[in-house]
Amino acid sequence: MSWLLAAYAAVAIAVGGYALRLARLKRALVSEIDASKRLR
Amino acid sequence: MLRTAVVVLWKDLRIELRTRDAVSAALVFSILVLVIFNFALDVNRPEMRRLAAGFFWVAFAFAGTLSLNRSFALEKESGAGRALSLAPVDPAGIFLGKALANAIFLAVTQLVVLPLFVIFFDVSVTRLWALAVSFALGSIAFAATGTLFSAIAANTRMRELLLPVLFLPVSVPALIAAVETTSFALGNTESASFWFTLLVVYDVVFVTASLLVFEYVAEE
Amino acid sequence: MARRSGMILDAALLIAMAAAFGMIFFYAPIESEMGIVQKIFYVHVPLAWNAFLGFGIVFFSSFRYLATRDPKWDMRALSAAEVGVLFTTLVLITGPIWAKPVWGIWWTWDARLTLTLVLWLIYVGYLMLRRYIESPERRAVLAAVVGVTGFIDVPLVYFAIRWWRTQHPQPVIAGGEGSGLDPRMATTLWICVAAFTLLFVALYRRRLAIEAMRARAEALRDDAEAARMEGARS
Repeated sequence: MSWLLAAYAAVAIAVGGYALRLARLKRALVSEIDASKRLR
Repeated sequence: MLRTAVVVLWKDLRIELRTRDAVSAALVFSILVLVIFNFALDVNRPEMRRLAAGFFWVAFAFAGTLSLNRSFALEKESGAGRALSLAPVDPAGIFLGKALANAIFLAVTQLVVLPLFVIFFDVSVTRLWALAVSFALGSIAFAATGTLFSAIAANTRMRELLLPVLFLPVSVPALIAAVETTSFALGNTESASFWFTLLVVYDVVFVTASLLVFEYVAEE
Repeated sequence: MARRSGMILDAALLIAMAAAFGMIFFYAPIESEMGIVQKIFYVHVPLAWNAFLGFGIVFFSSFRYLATRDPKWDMRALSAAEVGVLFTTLVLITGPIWAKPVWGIWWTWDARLTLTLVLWLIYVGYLMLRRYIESPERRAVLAAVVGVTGFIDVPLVYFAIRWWRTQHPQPVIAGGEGSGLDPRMATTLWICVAAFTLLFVALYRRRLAIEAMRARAEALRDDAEAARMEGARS
Protein backbone atom coordinates (compact mmCIF):
# COMPACT_ATOMS: atom_id res chain seq x y z
CA MET A 1 0.00 0.00 0.00
CA SER A 2 2.75 2.47 0.88
CA TRP A 3 4.44 1.86 -2.48
CA LEU A 4 1.17 2.61 -4.25
CA LEU A 5 0.61 5.78 -2.26
CA ALA A 6 4.20 6.87 -2.88
CA ALA A 7 3.69 6.53 -6.62
CA TYR A 8 0.37 8.39 -6.58
CA ALA A 9 1.83 11.10 -4.35
CA ALA A 10 4.75 11.58 -6.75
CA VAL A 11 2.33 12.06 -9.64
CA ALA A 12 0.09 14.41 -7.66
CA ILE A 13 2.99 16.53 -6.43
CA ALA A 14 4.61 16.81 -9.85
CA VAL A 15 1.39 17.61 -11.72
CA GLY A 16 0.20 19.96 -8.97
CA GLY A 17 3.55 21.71 -8.86
CA TYR A 18 3.55 22.16 -12.61
CA ALA A 19 -0.02 23.50 -12.61
CA LEU A 20 0.87 25.95 -9.82
CA ARG A 21 3.92 27.13 -11.73
CA LEU A 22 1.77 27.72 -14.81
CA ALA A 23 -0.80 29.63 -12.75
CA ARG A 24 1.94 31.84 -11.28
CA LEU A 25 3.39 32.54 -14.74
CA LYS A 26 -0.07 33.42 -15.97
CA ARG A 27 -0.69 35.86 -13.13
CA ALA A 28 2.64 37.57 -13.79
CA LEU A 29 1.89 37.89 -17.49
CA VAL A 30 -1.63 39.19 -16.89
CA SER A 31 -0.36 41.94 -14.61
CA GLU A 32 2.42 42.79 -17.07
CA ILE A 33 -0.03 43.09 -19.96
CA ASP A 34 -2.42 45.19 -17.84
CA ALA A 35 0.39 47.47 -16.74
CA SER A 36 1.63 48.12 -20.25
CA LYS A 37 -1.93 48.73 -21.43
CA ARG A 38 -2.40 51.35 -18.72
CA LEU A 39 0.83 53.06 -19.74
CA ARG A 40 -0.49 53.75 -23.21
CA MET B 1 25.16 20.42 -54.70
CA LEU B 2 28.05 18.01 -55.27
CA ARG B 3 30.37 20.81 -56.37
CA THR B 4 29.63 22.75 -53.19
CA ALA B 5 30.16 19.59 -51.17
CA VAL B 6 33.57 18.97 -52.75
CA VAL B 7 34.69 22.57 -52.18
CA VAL B 8 33.62 22.52 -48.51
CA LEU B 9 35.16 19.07 -48.01
CA TRP B 10 38.45 20.15 -49.59
CA LYS B 11 38.54 23.31 -47.46
CA ASP B 12 38.00 21.34 -44.23
CA LEU B 13 40.52 18.70 -45.19
CA ARG B 14 43.15 21.35 -45.93
CA ILE B 15 42.56 23.10 -42.63
CA GLU B 16 42.80 19.75 -40.85
CA LEU B 17 45.99 18.78 -42.68
CA ARG B 18 47.55 22.04 -41.58
CA THR B 19 46.39 22.07 -37.96
CA ARG B 20 45.53 18.42 -37.22
CA ASP B 21 43.18 19.74 -34.52
CA ALA B 22 40.18 17.44 -34.87
CA VAL B 23 42.00 14.15 -35.30
CA SER B 24 44.65 14.80 -32.66
CA ALA B 25 42.06 15.92 -30.10
CA ALA B 26 39.90 12.85 -30.76
CA LEU B 27 42.95 10.60 -30.71
CA VAL B 28 44.35 11.78 -27.40
CA PHE B 29 40.88 11.70 -25.89
CA SER B 30 40.17 8.11 -27.02
CA ILE B 31 43.49 6.92 -25.64
CA LEU B 32 42.65 8.62 -22.34
CA VAL B 33 39.28 6.88 -22.21
CA LEU B 34 40.84 3.50 -22.93
CA VAL B 35 43.44 4.04 -20.18
CA ILE B 36 40.77 5.11 -17.69
CA PHE B 37 38.65 2.08 -18.60
CA ASN B 38 41.65 -0.09 -17.87
CA PHE B 39 41.96 1.26 -14.33
CA ALA B 40 38.25 1.53 -13.63
CA LEU B 41 37.31 -1.94 -14.85
CA ASP B 42 40.43 -4.11 -14.74
CA VAL B 43 40.12 -5.05 -18.41
CA ASN B 44 42.70 -7.83 -18.38
CA ARG B 45 40.24 -10.35 -17.03
CA PRO B 46 39.33 -12.71 -19.89
CA GLU B 47 35.60 -11.97 -19.83
CA MET B 48 36.37 -8.33 -20.49
CA ARG B 49 37.52 -9.22 -23.98
CA ARG B 50 33.91 -9.84 -24.92
CA LEU B 51 33.08 -6.29 -23.93
CA ALA B 52 35.96 -4.77 -25.88
CA ALA B 53 33.78 -3.56 -28.75
CA GLY B 54 31.67 -1.63 -26.23
CA PHE B 55 34.73 0.09 -24.72
CA PHE B 56 35.94 1.01 -28.17
CA TRP B 57 32.70 2.67 -29.26
CA VAL B 58 32.16 4.46 -25.96
CA ALA B 59 35.64 5.97 -26.28
CA PHE B 60 34.81 6.79 -29.83
CA ALA B 61 31.40 8.35 -29.18
CA PHE B 62 32.90 10.79 -26.69
CA ALA B 63 36.01 11.51 -28.74
CA GLY B 64 33.79 12.02 -31.78
CA THR B 65 31.65 14.51 -29.85
CA LEU B 66 34.79 16.43 -29.01
CA SER B 67 35.94 16.76 -32.61
CA LEU B 68 32.40 17.35 -33.93
CA ASN B 69 32.11 20.28 -31.54
CA ARG B 70 34.81 22.03 -33.53
CA SER B 71 33.10 21.36 -36.84
CA PHE B 72 31.29 24.68 -37.08
CA ALA B 73 33.26 26.61 -34.47
CA LEU B 74 35.71 28.03 -36.99
CA GLU B 75 32.93 29.27 -39.26
CA LYS B 76 31.11 30.86 -36.33
CA GLU B 77 34.18 32.62 -34.97
CA SER B 78 35.34 34.02 -38.30
CA GLY B 79 31.88 34.92 -39.59
CA ALA B 80 32.45 32.61 -42.54
CA GLY B 81 29.25 30.74 -41.63
CA ARG B 82 27.19 33.85 -42.35
CA ALA B 83 29.08 34.37 -45.61
CA LEU B 84 28.42 30.76 -46.58
CA SER B 85 24.70 31.04 -45.80
CA LEU B 86 24.46 34.22 -47.89
CA ALA B 87 26.37 32.73 -50.82
CA PRO B 88 24.16 31.31 -53.58
CA VAL B 89 25.07 27.70 -52.86
CA ASP B 90 22.93 24.75 -51.92
CA PRO B 91 22.88 24.27 -48.12
CA ALA B 92 22.59 20.53 -48.69
CA GLY B 93 25.96 20.74 -50.43
CA ILE B 94 27.49 22.47 -47.41
CA PHE B 95 26.09 19.77 -45.17
CA LEU B 96 27.37 17.00 -47.40
CA GLY B 97 30.88 18.47 -47.54
CA LYS B 98 30.97 19.01 -43.78
CA ALA B 99 29.60 15.57 -43.01
CA LEU B 100 32.06 13.88 -45.37
CA ALA B 101 34.94 15.76 -43.77
CA ASN B 102 33.74 14.69 -40.32
CA ALA B 103 33.29 11.09 -41.45
CA ILE B 104 36.87 11.07 -42.74
CA PHE B 105 38.22 12.54 -39.48
CA LEU B 106 36.29 9.95 -37.48
CA ALA B 107 37.49 7.09 -39.68
CA VAL B 108 41.11 8.25 -39.45
CA THR B 109 40.82 8.43 -35.65
CA GLN B 110 39.41 4.91 -35.59
CA LEU B 111 42.22 3.55 -37.72
CA VAL B 112 44.84 5.12 -35.45
CA VAL B 113 43.15 3.98 -32.24
CA LEU B 114 42.53 0.44 -33.49
CA PRO B 115 46.11 -0.87 -33.08
CA LEU B 116 46.29 0.59 -29.57
CA PHE B 117 43.00 -0.99 -28.77
CA VAL B 118 44.19 -4.39 -30.03
CA ILE B 119 47.32 -4.07 -27.87
CA PHE B 120 45.59 -2.82 -24.70
CA PHE B 121 42.64 -5.22 -24.78
CA ASP B 122 44.35 -8.20 -26.37
CA VAL B 123 41.60 -8.75 -28.93
CA SER B 124 41.99 -10.31 -32.34
CA VAL B 125 40.17 -9.22 -35.46
CA THR B 126 38.73 -12.39 -36.92
CA ARG B 127 36.57 -10.81 -39.63
CA LEU B 128 38.46 -7.92 -41.17
CA TRP B 129 35.81 -7.08 -43.78
CA ALA B 130 33.16 -6.83 -41.07
CA LEU B 131 35.36 -4.47 -39.10
CA ALA B 132 35.90 -2.27 -42.16
CA VAL B 133 32.16 -2.14 -42.89
CA SER B 134 31.33 -1.53 -39.22
CA PHE B 135 33.82 1.36 -39.00
CA ALA B 136 32.71 2.88 -42.30
CA LEU B 137 28.96 2.69 -41.58
CA GLY B 138 29.49 3.78 -37.97
CA SER B 139 31.53 6.80 -39.06
CA ILE B 140 28.86 7.82 -41.55
CA ALA B 141 26.15 7.46 -38.89
CA PHE B 142 28.04 9.58 -36.35
CA ALA B 143 29.10 12.12 -38.97
CA ALA B 144 25.58 12.58 -40.38
CA THR B 145 23.87 13.00 -36.99
CA GLY B 146 26.81 14.80 -35.44
CA THR B 147 27.20 17.34 -38.24
CA LEU B 148 23.51 18.26 -38.13
CA PHE B 149 23.45 18.67 -34.35
CA SER B 150 26.82 20.39 -34.33
CA ALA B 151 25.43 22.99 -36.74
CA ILE B 152 22.41 23.42 -34.46
CA ALA B 153 24.46 23.61 -31.27
CA ALA B 154 26.82 26.16 -32.88
CA ASN B 155 23.92 28.65 -32.73
CA THR B 156 23.71 28.52 -28.95
CA ARG B 157 25.58 29.90 -25.99
CA MET B 158 26.27 26.38 -24.70
CA ARG B 159 27.72 24.66 -27.73
CA GLU B 160 29.94 22.21 -25.86
CA LEU B 161 27.12 21.04 -23.62
CA LEU B 162 24.30 20.90 -26.14
CA LEU B 163 26.03 18.85 -28.81
CA PRO B 164 26.35 15.70 -26.65
CA VAL B 165 22.94 16.31 -25.05
CA LEU B 166 21.26 16.33 -28.47
CA PHE B 167 23.53 14.00 -30.38
CA LEU B 168 24.10 11.04 -28.05
CA PRO B 169 20.45 10.06 -27.37
CA VAL B 170 19.53 10.29 -31.04
CA SER B 171 22.49 8.14 -32.07
CA VAL B 172 21.64 5.37 -29.59
CA PRO B 173 20.50 2.96 -32.35
CA ALA B 174 23.66 3.64 -34.36
CA LEU B 175 25.79 3.13 -31.26
CA ILE B 176 24.17 -0.21 -30.41
CA ALA B 177 24.48 -1.40 -34.01
CA ALA B 178 28.11 -0.26 -34.23
CA VAL B 179 29.02 -2.11 -31.03
CA GLU B 180 27.28 -5.29 -32.19
CA THR B 181 28.86 -5.25 -35.67
CA THR B 182 32.33 -4.62 -34.21
CA SER B 183 31.70 -7.37 -31.70
CA PHE B 184 30.90 -9.65 -34.64
CA ALA B 185 34.12 -8.58 -36.38
CA LEU B 186 36.07 -9.50 -33.25
CA GLY B 187 34.51 -12.96 -33.32
CA ASN B 188 32.40 -12.54 -30.19
CA THR B 189 29.09 -13.19 -31.92
CA GLU B 190 28.06 -15.51 -34.70
CA SER B 191 25.85 -13.29 -36.81
CA ALA B 192 25.12 -9.61 -37.06
CA SER B 193 23.09 -9.24 -40.23
CA PHE B 194 20.29 -7.41 -38.37
CA TRP B 195 22.81 -4.90 -37.03
CA PHE B 196 24.43 -4.27 -40.40
CA THR B 197 20.97 -3.69 -41.87
CA LEU B 198 20.01 -1.36 -39.03
CA LEU B 199 23.22 0.62 -39.46
CA VAL B 200 22.56 1.00 -43.20
CA VAL B 201 18.95 2.05 -42.53
CA TYR B 202 20.11 4.56 -39.91
CA ASP B 203 22.67 6.01 -42.33
CA VAL B 204 20.14 6.33 -45.14
CA VAL B 205 17.47 7.86 -42.89
CA PHE B 206 19.75 10.37 -41.23
CA VAL B 207 21.73 11.39 -44.31
CA THR B 208 18.44 11.98 -46.19
CA ALA B 209 16.76 13.78 -43.28
CA SER B 210 19.80 15.98 -42.67
CA LEU B 211 20.07 16.91 -46.34
CA LEU B 212 16.40 17.91 -46.27
CA VAL B 213 16.45 19.96 -43.07
CA PHE B 214 19.90 21.50 -43.34
CA GLU B 215 18.60 24.53 -45.26
CA TYR B 216 16.66 25.54 -42.14
CA VAL B 217 19.71 25.17 -39.94
CA ALA B 218 22.01 27.06 -42.30
CA GLU B 219 19.87 30.17 -42.68
CA GLU B 220 20.85 33.17 -40.57
CA MET C 1 -15.66 31.16 -25.85
CA ALA C 2 -12.22 29.82 -25.16
CA ARG C 3 -12.72 30.49 -21.48
CA ARG C 4 -16.01 28.61 -21.45
CA SER C 5 -14.66 25.56 -23.23
CA GLY C 6 -11.74 25.66 -20.80
CA MET C 7 -14.13 25.52 -17.84
CA ILE C 8 -16.10 22.66 -19.39
CA LEU C 9 -12.82 20.84 -19.95
CA ASP C 10 -11.70 21.39 -16.34
CA ALA C 11 -15.05 20.14 -15.06
CA ALA C 12 -14.79 17.06 -17.26
CA LEU C 13 -11.24 16.50 -16.01
CA LEU C 14 -12.36 16.64 -12.38
CA ILE C 15 -15.23 14.23 -12.97
CA ALA C 16 -13.06 11.84 -14.96
CA MET C 17 -10.31 11.87 -12.32
CA ALA C 18 -12.81 11.23 -9.55
CA ALA C 19 -14.33 8.39 -11.55
CA ALA C 20 -10.90 6.97 -12.38
CA PHE C 21 -9.68 6.89 -8.78
CA GLY C 22 -13.04 5.64 -7.57
CA MET C 23 -12.79 2.74 -9.98
CA ILE C 24 -9.14 2.08 -9.12
CA PHE C 25 -9.93 1.68 -5.43
CA PHE C 26 -13.47 0.33 -5.39
CA TYR C 27 -14.09 -1.44 -8.70
CA ALA C 28 -10.87 -2.90 -10.06
CA PRO C 29 -9.94 -6.21 -8.41
CA ILE C 30 -6.68 -6.61 -6.55
CA GLU C 31 -4.23 -8.47 -8.72
CA SER C 32 -3.58 -11.93 -7.31
CA GLU C 33 0.21 -12.08 -7.67
CA MET C 34 1.38 -8.51 -7.30
CA GLY C 35 -1.25 -7.34 -4.85
CA ILE C 36 -2.37 -3.78 -4.46
CA VAL C 37 0.88 -2.31 -5.83
CA GLN C 38 -0.30 -3.38 -9.28
CA LYS C 39 -2.71 -0.43 -9.17
CA ILE C 40 0.23 1.82 -10.08
CA PHE C 41 -0.43 0.41 -13.54
CA TYR C 42 -3.58 2.54 -13.91
CA VAL C 43 -1.52 5.70 -13.60
CA HIS C 44 1.71 4.53 -15.19
CA VAL C 45 0.27 3.31 -18.49
CA PRO C 46 -2.01 6.31 -19.24
CA LEU C 47 0.89 8.66 -18.44
CA ALA C 48 3.10 6.77 -20.88
CA TRP C 49 0.53 6.80 -23.67
CA ASN C 50 -0.10 10.52 -23.25
CA ALA C 51 3.62 11.24 -23.20
CA PHE C 52 3.90 9.52 -26.58
CA LEU C 53 0.90 11.54 -27.74
CA GLY C 54 2.74 14.69 -26.67
CA PHE C 55 5.86 13.75 -28.64
CA GLY C 56 3.67 13.02 -31.65
CA ILE C 57 2.27 16.56 -31.34
CA VAL C 58 5.83 17.92 -31.11
CA PHE C 59 6.71 16.15 -34.35
CA PHE C 60 3.61 17.25 -36.22
CA SER C 61 3.81 20.86 -34.99
CA SER C 62 7.55 21.10 -35.74
CA PHE C 63 6.89 19.84 -39.22
CA ARG C 64 4.07 22.35 -39.73
CA TYR C 65 6.26 25.12 -38.35
CA LEU C 66 8.99 24.47 -40.89
CA ALA C 67 6.38 24.46 -43.66
CA THR C 68 4.40 27.55 -42.59
CA ARG C 69 6.67 29.58 -40.24
CA ASP C 70 3.59 30.38 -38.22
CA PRO C 71 4.68 30.97 -34.57
CA LYS C 72 1.56 29.21 -33.29
CA TRP C 73 3.01 25.87 -34.40
CA ASP C 74 6.19 26.57 -32.48
CA MET C 75 4.14 27.36 -29.37
CA ARG C 76 2.24 24.11 -29.80
CA ALA C 77 5.44 22.10 -30.17
CA LEU C 78 6.96 23.70 -27.07
CA SER C 79 3.84 23.17 -24.94
CA ALA C 80 3.45 19.54 -25.99
CA ALA C 81 7.16 18.87 -25.37
CA GLU C 82 7.03 20.32 -21.87
CA VAL C 83 3.93 18.40 -20.79
CA GLY C 84 5.30 15.30 -22.57
CA VAL C 85 8.57 15.52 -20.63
CA LEU C 86 6.64 15.99 -17.37
CA PHE C 87 4.60 12.86 -18.09
CA THR C 88 7.66 10.86 -19.18
CA THR C 89 9.42 11.87 -15.96
CA LEU C 90 6.44 10.54 -14.01
CA VAL C 91 6.47 7.31 -16.03
CA LEU C 92 10.14 6.91 -15.12
CA ILE C 93 9.36 7.59 -11.44
CA THR C 94 6.27 5.40 -11.09
CA GLY C 95 7.89 2.54 -13.06
CA PRO C 96 10.66 1.81 -10.53
CA ILE C 97 8.26 2.32 -7.58
CA TRP C 98 6.18 -0.45 -9.13
CA ALA C 99 9.13 -2.66 -10.06
CA LYS C 100 10.90 -2.62 -6.69
CA PRO C 101 8.26 -4.31 -4.51
CA VAL C 102 7.13 -6.68 -7.29
CA TRP C 103 10.38 -7.82 -8.90
CA GLY C 104 12.86 -6.72 -6.27
CA ILE C 105 14.70 -4.41 -8.65
CA TRP C 106 14.31 -0.73 -9.42
CA TRP C 107 15.17 -0.89 -13.05
CA THR C 108 15.53 -3.39 -15.89
CA TRP C 109 16.79 -2.58 -19.37
CA ASP C 110 13.56 -3.80 -20.87
CA ALA C 111 12.62 -2.49 -24.32
CA ARG C 112 9.78 -0.27 -23.18
CA LEU C 113 11.61 1.20 -20.21
CA THR C 114 14.73 1.88 -22.24
CA LEU C 115 12.78 3.48 -25.07
CA THR C 116 11.03 5.74 -22.55
CA LEU C 117 14.37 6.76 -21.05
CA VAL C 118 15.91 7.53 -24.46
CA LEU C 119 12.81 9.54 -25.44
CA TRP C 120 13.05 11.47 -22.19
CA LEU C 121 16.68 12.32 -22.98
CA ILE C 122 15.83 13.43 -26.54
CA TYR C 123 13.06 15.78 -25.43
CA VAL C 124 14.95 17.12 -22.43
CA GLY C 125 17.62 18.00 -25.00
CA TYR C 126 14.93 19.69 -27.09
CA LEU C 127 13.85 21.84 -24.13
CA MET C 128 17.45 22.62 -23.16
CA LEU C 129 18.28 23.73 -26.69
CA ARG C 130 15.40 26.19 -26.60
CA ARG C 131 16.77 27.83 -23.46
CA TYR C 132 20.09 28.72 -25.03
CA ILE C 133 19.01 30.46 -28.24
CA GLU C 134 18.09 34.12 -27.89
CA SER C 135 16.50 34.97 -31.23
CA PRO C 136 12.88 33.72 -31.22
CA GLU C 137 12.87 32.83 -34.93
CA ARG C 138 16.16 30.94 -34.78
CA ARG C 139 14.97 29.16 -31.65
CA ALA C 140 11.75 28.10 -33.34
CA VAL C 141 13.49 26.88 -36.49
CA LEU C 142 16.28 24.95 -34.78
CA ALA C 143 13.93 23.44 -32.21
CA ALA C 144 11.63 22.34 -35.03
CA VAL C 145 14.54 20.60 -36.75
CA VAL C 146 15.28 18.71 -33.51
CA GLY C 147 11.56 18.00 -33.06
CA VAL C 148 11.41 16.38 -36.48
CA THR C 149 14.71 14.44 -36.43
CA GLY C 150 14.19 13.33 -32.84
CA PHE C 151 10.89 11.71 -33.70
CA ILE C 152 12.01 9.88 -36.84
CA ASP C 153 14.65 8.33 -34.61
CA VAL C 154 12.02 6.70 -32.39
CA PRO C 155 11.31 3.60 -34.55
CA LEU C 156 15.06 3.04 -35.00
CA VAL C 157 15.63 3.23 -31.26
CA TYR C 158 12.73 0.88 -30.69
CA PHE C 159 13.93 -1.81 -33.12
CA ALA C 160 17.51 -1.53 -31.92
CA ILE C 161 16.50 -2.01 -28.29
CA ARG C 162 14.02 -4.78 -29.06
CA TRP C 163 16.59 -6.78 -30.97
CA TRP C 164 19.32 -6.06 -28.45
CA ARG C 165 17.03 -7.47 -25.75
CA THR C 166 16.47 -10.71 -27.60
CA GLN C 167 20.22 -11.13 -27.98
CA HIS C 168 21.07 -10.29 -24.39
CA PRO C 169 18.27 -12.04 -22.57
CA GLN C 170 17.38 -11.12 -19.04
CA PRO C 171 14.64 -12.63 -16.96
CA VAL C 172 11.42 -11.64 -18.69
CA ILE C 173 9.46 -9.91 -16.00
CA ALA C 174 7.55 -7.15 -17.68
CA GLY C 175 5.11 -9.54 -19.26
CA GLY C 176 2.67 -8.47 -21.94
CA GLU C 177 0.70 -5.64 -20.48
CA GLY C 178 -2.95 -6.05 -21.35
CA SER C 179 -2.56 -9.75 -22.00
CA GLY C 180 -4.98 -11.72 -19.89
CA LEU C 181 -6.26 -8.56 -18.27
CA ASP C 182 -9.38 -8.98 -16.16
CA PRO C 183 -12.30 -7.18 -17.92
CA ARG C 184 -12.85 -5.00 -14.85
CA MET C 185 -9.17 -4.04 -14.95
CA ALA C 186 -9.45 -3.22 -18.65
CA THR C 187 -12.49 -0.98 -18.07
CA THR C 188 -10.70 0.82 -15.26
CA LEU C 189 -7.65 1.28 -17.46
CA TRP C 190 -9.71 2.87 -20.22
CA ILE C 191 -11.36 5.29 -17.82
CA CYS C 192 -7.92 6.18 -16.49
CA VAL C 193 -6.60 6.70 -20.02
CA ALA C 194 -9.52 9.07 -20.68
CA ALA C 195 -8.89 10.95 -17.42
CA PHE C 196 -5.17 11.36 -18.05
CA THR C 197 -5.77 12.41 -21.64
CA LEU C 198 -8.00 15.17 -20.28
CA LEU C 199 -5.24 16.06 -17.81
CA PHE C 200 -2.77 16.27 -20.68
CA VAL C 201 -5.09 18.49 -22.69
CA ALA C 202 -5.78 20.74 -19.70
CA LEU C 203 -2.08 21.24 -18.93
CA TYR C 204 -1.24 21.64 -22.60
CA ARG C 205 -3.89 24.32 -23.07
CA ARG C 206 -2.68 26.24 -20.04
CA ARG C 207 0.90 26.09 -21.23
CA LEU C 208 -0.16 27.21 -24.71
CA ALA C 209 -2.16 30.14 -23.31
CA ILE C 210 0.91 31.32 -21.41
CA GLU C 211 3.00 31.21 -24.57
CA ALA C 212 0.37 33.28 -26.43
CA MET C 213 0.26 35.81 -23.56
CA ARG C 214 4.03 36.01 -23.53
CA ALA C 215 4.01 36.87 -27.23
CA ARG C 216 1.35 39.51 -26.56
CA ALA C 217 3.30 41.04 -23.67
CA GLU C 218 6.38 41.17 -25.87
CA ALA C 219 4.44 42.89 -28.66
CA LEU C 220 3.07 45.46 -26.20
CA ARG C 221 6.56 46.09 -24.87
CA ASP C 222 7.85 46.60 -28.42
CA ASP C 223 4.97 49.00 -29.12
CA ALA C 224 5.75 51.02 -26.02
CA GLU C 225 9.40 51.10 -27.02
CA ALA C 226 8.50 52.28 -30.54
CA ALA C 227 6.16 54.96 -29.13
CA ARG C 228 8.92 56.22 -26.85
CA MET C 229 11.35 56.42 -29.75
CA GLU C 230 8.74 58.28 -31.76
CA GLY C 231 8.17 60.71 -28.90
CA ALA C 232 11.88 61.32 -28.47
CA ARG C 233 12.28 62.12 -32.15
CA SER C 234 9.51 64.70 -32.42
